[in-house]
Amino acid sequence: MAFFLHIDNRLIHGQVTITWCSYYGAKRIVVADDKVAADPIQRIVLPQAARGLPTSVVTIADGLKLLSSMDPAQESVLIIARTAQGALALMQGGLKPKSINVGNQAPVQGTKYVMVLPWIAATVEDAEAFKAIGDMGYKITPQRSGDDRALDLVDLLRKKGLL
Amino acid sequence: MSNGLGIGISLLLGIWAYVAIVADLGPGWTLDDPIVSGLFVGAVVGNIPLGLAIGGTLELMSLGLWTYGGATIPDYMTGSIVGTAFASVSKLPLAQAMAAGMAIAVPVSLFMTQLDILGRSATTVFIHGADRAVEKQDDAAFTRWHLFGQLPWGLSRGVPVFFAVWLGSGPIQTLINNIPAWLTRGLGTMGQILPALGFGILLTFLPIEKWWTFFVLGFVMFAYLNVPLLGIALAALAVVIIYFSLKPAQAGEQQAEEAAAIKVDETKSPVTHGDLVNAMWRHILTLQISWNYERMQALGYAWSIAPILKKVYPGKDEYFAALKRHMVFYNTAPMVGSPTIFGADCALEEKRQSEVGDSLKVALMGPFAGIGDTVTAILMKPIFAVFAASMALAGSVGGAWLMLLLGFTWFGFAFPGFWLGHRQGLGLVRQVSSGAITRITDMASTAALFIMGGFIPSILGGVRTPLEFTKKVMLEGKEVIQSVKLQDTFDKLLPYLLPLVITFSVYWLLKKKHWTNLQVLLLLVAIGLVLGALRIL
Repeated sequence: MAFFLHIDNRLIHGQVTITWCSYYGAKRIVVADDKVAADPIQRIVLPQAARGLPTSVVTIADGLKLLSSMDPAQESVLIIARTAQGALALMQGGLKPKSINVGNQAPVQGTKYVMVLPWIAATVEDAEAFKAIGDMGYKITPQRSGDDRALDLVDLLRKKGLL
Repeated sequence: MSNGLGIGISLLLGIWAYVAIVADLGPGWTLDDPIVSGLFVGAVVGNIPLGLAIGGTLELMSLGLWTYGGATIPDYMTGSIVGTAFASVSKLPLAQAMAAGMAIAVPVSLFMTQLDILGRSATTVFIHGADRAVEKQDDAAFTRWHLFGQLPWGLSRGVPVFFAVWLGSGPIQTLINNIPAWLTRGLGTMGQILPALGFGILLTFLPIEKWWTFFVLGFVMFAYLNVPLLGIALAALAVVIIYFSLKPAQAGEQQAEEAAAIKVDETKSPVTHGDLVNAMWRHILTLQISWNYERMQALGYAWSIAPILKKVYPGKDEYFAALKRHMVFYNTAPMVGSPTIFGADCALEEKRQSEVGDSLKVALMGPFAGIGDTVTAILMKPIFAVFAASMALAGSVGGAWLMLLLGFTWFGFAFPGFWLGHRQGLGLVRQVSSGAITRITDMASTAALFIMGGFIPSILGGVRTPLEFTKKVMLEGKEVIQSVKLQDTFDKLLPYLLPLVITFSVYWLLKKKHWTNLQVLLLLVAIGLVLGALRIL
């Protein structure tokens, strides 16, 4: 029983998310992102991708409130942030996940991004947010699925010259 | 120095590998299926039963594998081509040639994952080229970048196949001809237990803990009632439909109301039926050929919707701005799913509701990936694959035709899917929020569980032990030595005990112990080789 933080711009992506839920034994999904929560279509449709797992699509502030009402010793929850900054805001808000993983970060056009791994793009700002999370004593892994190697993302960012 | 296969055959097989992978990425044709590729290579080298046997075994190993979210999986097509080609040169009897072919095919399939990652990475060049073409407002160059996006994919398969077959088939022949008998036996056992990997992977994607009862039904029908596989599949269909029609739909009524409240303005559309047909064909035939890690299906999507955008935005600046808007990350199930989203997006673009369309696209790709992957990878493909592999392993060409047919069944989802999406437009949100997706995926996965209950013992039925024990018993006052077959004891306990134990061990290692597919594969290879060679299995 624990909280697990995933950073993925695809949010709930069918089988990918379901596989991670079953990997962790998570019985609940919380998508915490201000932009997504403000979009009625995404808010309505996203829970439908969760294959019947109870799902909340909320702002970061509401997400923190919701999570503080849950006990990680009693409930396993997959928490999904869309961006590094969103994840950092959650962490600064007091979230204490058992593990942090980045599934996919597509490049945002018009930004100066570097492909850290073929499926993970990061800007200097993203890298700093990831590092701030790492400095809280967490190892951030960049795994698409459990089959990928559990590398250290902050190390990779450093090697790419983003830090 | 022994003679291998000539440069002509090598070239032919290389071209086949190129065409097969691109045909799968594009219209979803299953030329790259191990059985279909096995048949082709078998026909070329004049040993069809060998190609079918190797393809059939690889098919079963790959049962649960699917490129979810763009993941890389072992390339069993290349394994099938190279394994069949190499083994055919040996002129060994079928069983031995097949064992040797598998010994080559498995490592080749695994090695190819490296080239797959390389190929997928190289495609990034093409999406950047397309970005530049959009900036320069050059439509022809944009089209070229998309269509040529197939090159890294095709070449990453075609070139290695050509060189492996051309240079490797001679030298490897000496090796194959000198495989000792114990190793051949080990390899044979390995081939028999490897399908457990495919079944185990598949089970991890199925809600077996929740709906194990459906699995038991299928198992009982096969193991105790001896119902043929087709009968089990039909029973599964009937039971699942009855079960779900008795179960009330859990509709998110409040969400459906919310969805109904979202409205769009209707404006007259300049788009003709012909434009829609053009866009639909572009999507169905090419969505993924320029797939890349960065934005996945983005370029294919943008190229497909271009004919619509051209009509809606006659001004050059407006048109290219709209095209650029579509060059963003997109990835969902290509055949069952994406056409519907695409149809709805076309309808919204027609009404100049691009913001709603963009939002719809992002919102729906997750749910539709779920439904599409479940219907294609968890229900349809495994069912076709098990029938096809059984036929192929029995030496019947029908297995290859069946897998080929599967590739064309996607059209049956794609065309109606597109028009459904186009008719519904934003209404799709309402449909989706009614809980329909969860219901369909639940139906598909319970049906798959039922069917797997019968398929697993059927396919792994060959996993038996020849071990015998002797014991002294008193018979009519005399001491007699009696031999006891261990397998008979197992059968009295539970029919198909060993297949179940192996499959659920694989499931347990993957799901509970978090082993990777590769680790389990290596374990099964070791078990097969050792226990087979020692005549324990």
